[in-house]
Amino acid sequence: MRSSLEIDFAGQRLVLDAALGLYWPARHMLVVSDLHLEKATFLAQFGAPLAPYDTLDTLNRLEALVSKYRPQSLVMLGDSFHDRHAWERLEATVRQQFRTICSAVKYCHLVEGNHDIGLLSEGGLNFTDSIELDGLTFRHEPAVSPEPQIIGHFHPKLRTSLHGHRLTGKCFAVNQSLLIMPAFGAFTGGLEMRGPVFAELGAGDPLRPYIIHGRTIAALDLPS
Amino acid sequence: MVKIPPRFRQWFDQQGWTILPHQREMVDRYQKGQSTLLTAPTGTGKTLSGFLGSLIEISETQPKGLHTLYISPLKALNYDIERNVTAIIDALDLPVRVESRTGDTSAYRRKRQRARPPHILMTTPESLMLLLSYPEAAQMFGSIEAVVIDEIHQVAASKRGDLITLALAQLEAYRPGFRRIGLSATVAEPDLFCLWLGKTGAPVDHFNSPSTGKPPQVSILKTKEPVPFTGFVAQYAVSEIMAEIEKAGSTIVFVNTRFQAELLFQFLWEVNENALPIAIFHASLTRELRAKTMKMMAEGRLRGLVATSAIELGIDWGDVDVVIQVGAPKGVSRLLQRIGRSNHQVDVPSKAFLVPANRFEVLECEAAMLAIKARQLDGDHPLPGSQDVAIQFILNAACSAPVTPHQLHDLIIQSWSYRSLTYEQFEELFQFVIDGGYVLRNYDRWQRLIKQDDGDTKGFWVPANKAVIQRHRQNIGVIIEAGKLKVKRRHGRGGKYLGEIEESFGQSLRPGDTFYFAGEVLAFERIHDMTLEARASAAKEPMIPTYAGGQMPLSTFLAEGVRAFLQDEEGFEKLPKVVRNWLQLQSRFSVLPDRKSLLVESFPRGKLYCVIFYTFEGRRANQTLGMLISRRMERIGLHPLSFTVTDYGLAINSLQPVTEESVYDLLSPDILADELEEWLAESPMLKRSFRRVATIAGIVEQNNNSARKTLKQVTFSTDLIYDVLRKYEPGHVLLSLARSDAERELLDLDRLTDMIVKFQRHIEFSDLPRPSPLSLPVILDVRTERLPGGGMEALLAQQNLAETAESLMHEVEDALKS
Repeated sequence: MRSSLEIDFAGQRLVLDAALGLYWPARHMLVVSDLHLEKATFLAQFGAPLAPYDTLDTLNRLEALVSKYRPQSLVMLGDSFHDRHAWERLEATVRQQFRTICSAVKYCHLVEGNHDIGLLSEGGLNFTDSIELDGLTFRHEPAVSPEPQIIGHFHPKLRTSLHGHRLTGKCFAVNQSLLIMPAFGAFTGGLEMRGPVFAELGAGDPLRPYIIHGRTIAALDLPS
Repeated sequence: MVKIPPRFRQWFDQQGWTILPHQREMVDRYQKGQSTLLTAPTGTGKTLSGFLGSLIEISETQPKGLHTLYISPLKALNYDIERNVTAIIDALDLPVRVESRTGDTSAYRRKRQRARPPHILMTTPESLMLLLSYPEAAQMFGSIEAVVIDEIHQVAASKRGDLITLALAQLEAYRPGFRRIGLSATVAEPDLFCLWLGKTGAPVDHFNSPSTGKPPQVSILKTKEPVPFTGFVAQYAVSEIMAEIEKAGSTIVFVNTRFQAELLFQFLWEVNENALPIAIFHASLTRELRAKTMKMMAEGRLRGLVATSAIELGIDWGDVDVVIQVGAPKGVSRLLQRIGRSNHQVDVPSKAFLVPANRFEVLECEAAMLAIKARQLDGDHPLPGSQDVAIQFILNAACSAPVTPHQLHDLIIQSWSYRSLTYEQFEELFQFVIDGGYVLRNYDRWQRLIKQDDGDTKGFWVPANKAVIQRHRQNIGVIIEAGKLKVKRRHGRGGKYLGEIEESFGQSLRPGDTFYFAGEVLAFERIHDMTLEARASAAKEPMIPTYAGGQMPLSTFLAEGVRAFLQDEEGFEKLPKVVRNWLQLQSRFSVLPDRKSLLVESFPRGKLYCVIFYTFEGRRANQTLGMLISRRMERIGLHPLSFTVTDYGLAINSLQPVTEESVYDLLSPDILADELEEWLAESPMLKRSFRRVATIAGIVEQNNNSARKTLKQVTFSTDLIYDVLRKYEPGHVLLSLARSDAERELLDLDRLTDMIVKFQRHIEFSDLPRPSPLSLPVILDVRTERLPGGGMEALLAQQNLAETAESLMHEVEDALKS
């Protein structure tokens, strides 16, 4: 039973954690993606009274990951907030919790995603388009590029069966040049890896799922 | 004295009918202003007796507004009844306007119906609730004289029944004292339905029209091939079924699920050498296809029809000579209603054949035939009203007019199903409607209802904005279905819609996979815009077997019948030889279950172990037991992986075997305390209940296509909401509603407690080297319940080390061969 797996990606040793984070030991860097903070209150505006504790849960889990790895840098790979007004809706205590997490690391990078583009905040949050380090590019959505990229945006998940037992879980989706992060947010759904989107992303070099179930992560062969 | 105008009597004469005693009685009661529950056997003009009083009164008094409301659970039934009633009105040239109102009614017509209602409106529970959500509701329903509710026995014991009973309470406020007329098949305990139909404290009267016909002739269809161990479709009996269709003028072949219907239909066509007209009918086909089939059947142009319960309700299907029930009957009353489809002539007995699909079902068929002979009935009873439906009703009422919690609570408890709902309980539901009722975070910026500060309605609550009303109206209803995909058969560039299929099934297909739908073999191409696109395939056998689809639980009564049957070895003599051999082999290899003890068998299966409990307590109780026992197995380190339940038994697969010592641990009564609480909290079952409750309460959208396109982001799994809510606000009202929903719909706790207490010291444990004969139908059932927890993770971990075990099915097949 493994709670994390080490893989080699573009010449770098990376740790895929069942807690939905990626750790890069050489660079002491922790990466999470698609937090979608305040998704519940966003939907509540349209008359759906969802349990408004998704942000709290997401940040509690992020806090736990940060204490586990004690990284120097933390990267949030886009769509950290569900919409551009999400920051304003954060409760004061939770907003403080967010700041505490960011200041627990030396560098905290917020990569811009399609959901949180133009986020309205009172400052102190620095967004960046992408990060490049040791030949790896971190961005929210993939760019046409031969360089190895680590991205978010697609929320990969897989529904499959093992020995006749059904199994569903969020996934890291990985091939030679692309690593797609699972969505970290408490209320984030997933996109089935066997669908056309991932077929296209992995054209010529199929993406392999590293599926997460409970506290376990495992590499699977995508049922063809 | 009953007043039936001469022209009505003439009409009956012209049809060659006589006015039946119960029809006369119902007119009499109508004219006295009485509410009545009429119970009568199928095919005795029940529905007409519900309408006669209204038709006479409307034609005599020419009322202005809506006069009579007819509610049935099925759209198809509405159309059928509308046609029949219109036929009388046209024949007599009565000045009566009849219209139906369902989900299919056009927007223009709906608006007109609200502005200028017909005399008689035929509708479904959901459409009625929608009508009640408009501001005009009080005016529109203020003039009703009668509400006729059809097929009460089908609908009362369900959440749709809760919708109806709440609607009745609302109507009572608009028009006190209207007549409540209930129509029902013969039921075991009519008094309960009288209470259900009446206002709290004022049950309606009961009138029973006794069956005058001869008892039906029911027998098990004789076949050349023996009944198999397992299966749902009875392929072994196809040529004999075909032979009966050829002999009779017209035959209905009933099955229990849609997929059984599809498969059996294919099998029949393969042996249909004379190309007799045989059609298929189930609820997933498009309305056009269904209407066409109905018409052909009614006109006598079909020789055979393979159908699910979609046709069970009162629709007139023309003259049917023979009914064949394929698969287990599951309940005596249900079987009798199906049998009642054949031969509407009173003096000739109905004729029916039963075709069990596997060996346990043979026992069930025998038990059902014994019960029919003894004229015993079973059936569901109305249950306490569901609170999630009350939540939907609160918002519905507020959409129509400003409300206060006190006024609404007074109204709701007028419904017998909700008579025990206290104001405190109700207040919690009301608060949920307002703002979700979350205590740890202030949600006041996103309230659904707001309190009026001034004006006439000061202190009353109204919807916060139009979006709330619109969203509510799109989500009225209590049938929470799996996501559906439209099925389109492509042809060249165009194509034709055939019906709908479960989204999860669609997602399991790969391009080129073939499957049955609408009686054809289709080859899957792609899913696009909520549509599954496929082409006709030349393949004879589809590659993808489909087992999903509705399942009916075995009635308690019939389960008991099966148990009694097993006790009585002398009764085995009349069983088919293979079934008798099967039971005798079981008796030699292991033991036969008896009433004094609980038989438990344990044996290896490939790399896993299987333990089987032969409880005969029905599916629901076995499901709960599976949940509890597997929890205990997890605790003592046996690593359970999954379980399978049937009506007869429970099979659990685990990494370590259950032994004679540990089995007493598993069935100890304290599992009902510790394990129940722990397990319930994380079981997939409770998550399913939560999904239903959360959807009915309006937290997430119902899975309708239009909502999907506009509000895509809400379609994430309610499991996520459940997990977060349980972590941060375990006392939230929706969690307790999910819990009671599970208890109500799934658990059968009382039955289980009795069993555990009775058998805890009387376990017959049989340690076997391989699966026993009796176990085969249970372990070969493909519908398994996945268990969360260590077992699954352990299995996943093995996957990392090596590609190991062969599929479980193969192992069982090998065991069967040897």
